[in-house]
Amino acid sequence: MNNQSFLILDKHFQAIIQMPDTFQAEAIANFGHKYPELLKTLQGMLKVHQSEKDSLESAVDSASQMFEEEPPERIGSWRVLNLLGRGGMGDVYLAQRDDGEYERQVAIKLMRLGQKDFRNRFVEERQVLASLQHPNIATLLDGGQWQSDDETVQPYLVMEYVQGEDILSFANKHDLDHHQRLGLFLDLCAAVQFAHQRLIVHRDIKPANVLIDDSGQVKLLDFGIAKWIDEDQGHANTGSMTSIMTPQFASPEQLNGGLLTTATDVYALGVLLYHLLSGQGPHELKGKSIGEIAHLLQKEQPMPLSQLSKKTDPVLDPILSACCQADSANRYQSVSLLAEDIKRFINHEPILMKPPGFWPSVRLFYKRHTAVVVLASLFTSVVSFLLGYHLYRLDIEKSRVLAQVERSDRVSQFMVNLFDRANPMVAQGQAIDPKALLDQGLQKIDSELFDEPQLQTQLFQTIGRAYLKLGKYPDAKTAIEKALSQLDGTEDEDVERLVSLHLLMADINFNLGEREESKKHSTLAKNTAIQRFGANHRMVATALTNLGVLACNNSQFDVCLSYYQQSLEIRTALHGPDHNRVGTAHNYVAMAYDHQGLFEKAIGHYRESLRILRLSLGELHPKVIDGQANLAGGLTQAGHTDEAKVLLDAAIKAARQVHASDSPELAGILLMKAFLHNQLEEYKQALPFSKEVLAIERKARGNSHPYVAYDLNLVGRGQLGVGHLDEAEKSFNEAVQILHAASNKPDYILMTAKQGLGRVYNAKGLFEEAQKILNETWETRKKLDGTDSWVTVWTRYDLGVAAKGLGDIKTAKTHWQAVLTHAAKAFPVGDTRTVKTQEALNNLEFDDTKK
Amino acid sequence: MAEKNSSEVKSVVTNGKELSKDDLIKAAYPDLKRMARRQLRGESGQAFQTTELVNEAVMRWLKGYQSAHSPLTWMAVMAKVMRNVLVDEARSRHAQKRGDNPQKITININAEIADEPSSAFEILDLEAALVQLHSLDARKAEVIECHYFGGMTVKEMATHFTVGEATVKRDLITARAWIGSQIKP
Repeated sequence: MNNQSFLILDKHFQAIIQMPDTFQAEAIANFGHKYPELLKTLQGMLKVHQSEKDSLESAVDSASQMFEEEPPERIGSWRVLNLLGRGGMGDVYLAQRDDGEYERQVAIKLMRLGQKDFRNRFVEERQVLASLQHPNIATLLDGGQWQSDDETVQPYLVMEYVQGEDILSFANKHDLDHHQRLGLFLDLCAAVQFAHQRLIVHRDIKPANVLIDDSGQVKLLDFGIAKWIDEDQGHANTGSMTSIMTPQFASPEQLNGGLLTTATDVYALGVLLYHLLSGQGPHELKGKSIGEIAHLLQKEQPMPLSQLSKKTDPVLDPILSACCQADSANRYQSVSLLAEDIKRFINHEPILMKPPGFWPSVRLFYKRHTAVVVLASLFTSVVSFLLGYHLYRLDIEKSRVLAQVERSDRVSQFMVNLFDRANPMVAQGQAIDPKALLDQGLQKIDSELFDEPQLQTQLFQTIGRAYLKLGKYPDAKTAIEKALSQLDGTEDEDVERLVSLHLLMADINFNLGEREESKKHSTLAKNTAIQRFGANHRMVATALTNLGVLACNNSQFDVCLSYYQQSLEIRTALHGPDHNRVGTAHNYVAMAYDHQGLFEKAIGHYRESLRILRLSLGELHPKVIDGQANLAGGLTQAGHTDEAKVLLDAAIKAARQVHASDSPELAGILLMKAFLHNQLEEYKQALPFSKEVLAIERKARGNSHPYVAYDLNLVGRGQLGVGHLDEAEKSFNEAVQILHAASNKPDYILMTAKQGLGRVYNAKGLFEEAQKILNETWETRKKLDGTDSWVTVWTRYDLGVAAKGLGDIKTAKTHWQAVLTHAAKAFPVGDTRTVKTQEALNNLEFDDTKK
Repeated sequence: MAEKNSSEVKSVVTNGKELSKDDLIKAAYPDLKRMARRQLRGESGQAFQTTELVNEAVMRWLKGYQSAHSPLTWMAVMAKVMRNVLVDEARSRHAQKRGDNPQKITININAEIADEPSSAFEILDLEAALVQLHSLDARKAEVIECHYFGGMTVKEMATHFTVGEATVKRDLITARAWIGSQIKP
């Protein structure tokens, strides 16, 4: 064959394949006549063309697979015996100690991914992982890097060898009943809880990682490995979808690149339990892409277990459902709580878990106690203050702003002008669109200041900050990128600007969920600042705080604490112990202790923080108010409720002065107070606050928002408590209306409202109505919460009151007995609810004997 | 990966230092080869991701150098490297198996690994055909190389070879058919 003949071949081949089949035969024959020596080749080509298989592709594939099948003989100080299996992350080999010291067999996982500092990371964490000595955890023994001959290096992990099968197969093979399965599950929970207490999150709990060995012992594998894999792949917190091998067990936050905490493990445990008890998961995921799954998990509630499998007891439904809530704040907050509820179920005791959303106060407390930590924003710029949530009160803000503006500062001038009333976009007293103004500002910078690059950079930076404060992160990113691209020069001020831009970018990245980018920028900022200005520089401190926040979000609380402490030291060294930045730093350290449950230590720092902030900012600064609330929170956690109360009062007083009287922020603080008083049955104190909250939220959210219904319930409860029965009735009725309009499905708020009405009727002596509505409530609660849940049982107290009112002593007795039995078991001696019920029963006896 | 300090790049360019494409490739080749092998080890039986390699290569080798060479050029280079790596490995194993090089025969503890599945050696036939194709129609051979070893798309190849997409498609069809006819007699 030569070039020419190939050309001919090509030409004819192309022509023939275009023809319809019927003509081809003739064309081929013609070709054969003209070029007989090429005919065979042509025929071969046509055959290949028609076949479905691409032999080239398979040849290349097979060749690349050659690189897979080289088992090592030795890894580290172990001799490889044989291949145990292949996983997504690597091959697992059975190995034995090579130096003949002992016979112990281990499993070595040779990772597929090559990376640089695996060893360093492992050494850091080795102690922690080695401390995971637990009968139900496959111990991690060693790790290192294995060098194959051709210079490639693969990390490996040496683990306790577990011979057994995964929990699902085991359970099915041995035909275990529900109790036995739950028993295994509880062992698994113990293992996970053990690790959580040592601040290690597993992140990849799935049946394949839960083995039952030959002695029937549960063994959990691969602790914390997922984290390394993800860090290796450049995703510090399993943000990316590529590292998810089994989407079935991935939590919403894993799929969405969110924060991973112990609640993530709770989710996985829940899914596993679903499978263990019913053979199916909480959602139908077949054939869906990861993006679709992520969406589904957010939107769809998990299927109740009893619907998936008829054999399961519906009492379990809320337990499982609570594990698999999309919002991690609505799940069991610890594995031990989950395990306890399961134990209660097994012992036929009432479980404590309520369906999601039951604890309304939780939304406030969670604000303070979730693992999400907001990045340090120590901006003092004019604009950030201006564009805070006070924004719509332009009059007040502007005068404050003007007081701070240095008239000679062109940047500030520019920004202030932007918001000036002379600007046609700003209308007096109306809500303004800050983003539109900023967009306008950006344009101006581009067009009017193109000959002043330094000024441009500064302005981009300022606007970037402003966008950041507004929460417009993509815009912020663009602005900062612009600023970064302009940067030139090596003067101190330039480097300083560079560092602050990187810190800004870190903030933006963080808010966009780009954790690894955020870390990069923070680290770069830190290193540049240290290099240029030495270790004791305020920017180093800020960078350290940022890194601490990231560590906190990775559940690395000890690392986080360390960063925060370092930052605190630097700030103290720079500014002295009374500076307000030191105060903020104390607050961070306090939060870190908070997360670790070291409340007394946290309180110490909260106090210090508050003291300093008060000194430098005065009583009315939002930061001081936050500080008071934080301290109150810490005190409450530690059980010092009296002091907490005092603080809360002070916080409210200050909040009133600082926040607009119709701001939801204020409502949030007041709500805490109202709820607390209601709980303590101090209705007179609670009422004014409840009413105020109601007023604010009506305005802010509209009259038909479910939160308003919730607030109405609070108010109603207070009114009932002080004896304003008609008003109470009105409140509860309105709540019921709102909720009925909002949804067909009854929920806990509706039940509370209805129960409230029942109580009102009781108080009014309308026992028949009371009984009717209370029975309805009771029945619905049985369905929503289960017959044995406390809130259902407690409904019977009021039913007893109604029954007694109707003269039906027997029924009243039955109801109250039931309540008493439950309360006596569930609550400690002397609990108000037990006492109350006992009293009611005693009075019955008394009446009886009177007759 | 070192962060690219923008001021560094500027200063290099103003010094007028620009490496020619060949210099770059020559200097990079050993590294690229190593990266390719590592990449092959890293994937579990799936087709390798040349794009990642290219990115790594670009980052590594263009750091500090202003380069006019497009990523597509690099992809083509990587394709060549990949091809070489795979063929080299197949050849050495083939030699082992055939006993061409007596010193290479080792007794493995795990005897079952000694036998390579025969499909692994198909690549050698492919290589032979590809070499021949190159002498008949160089571009078609390169298209095959870029596509199968480099993972380049039709669009990318059209840009790289400065021809139309239809031309690239035709090249692929003919070349594939021809090589196929040579591999299976």
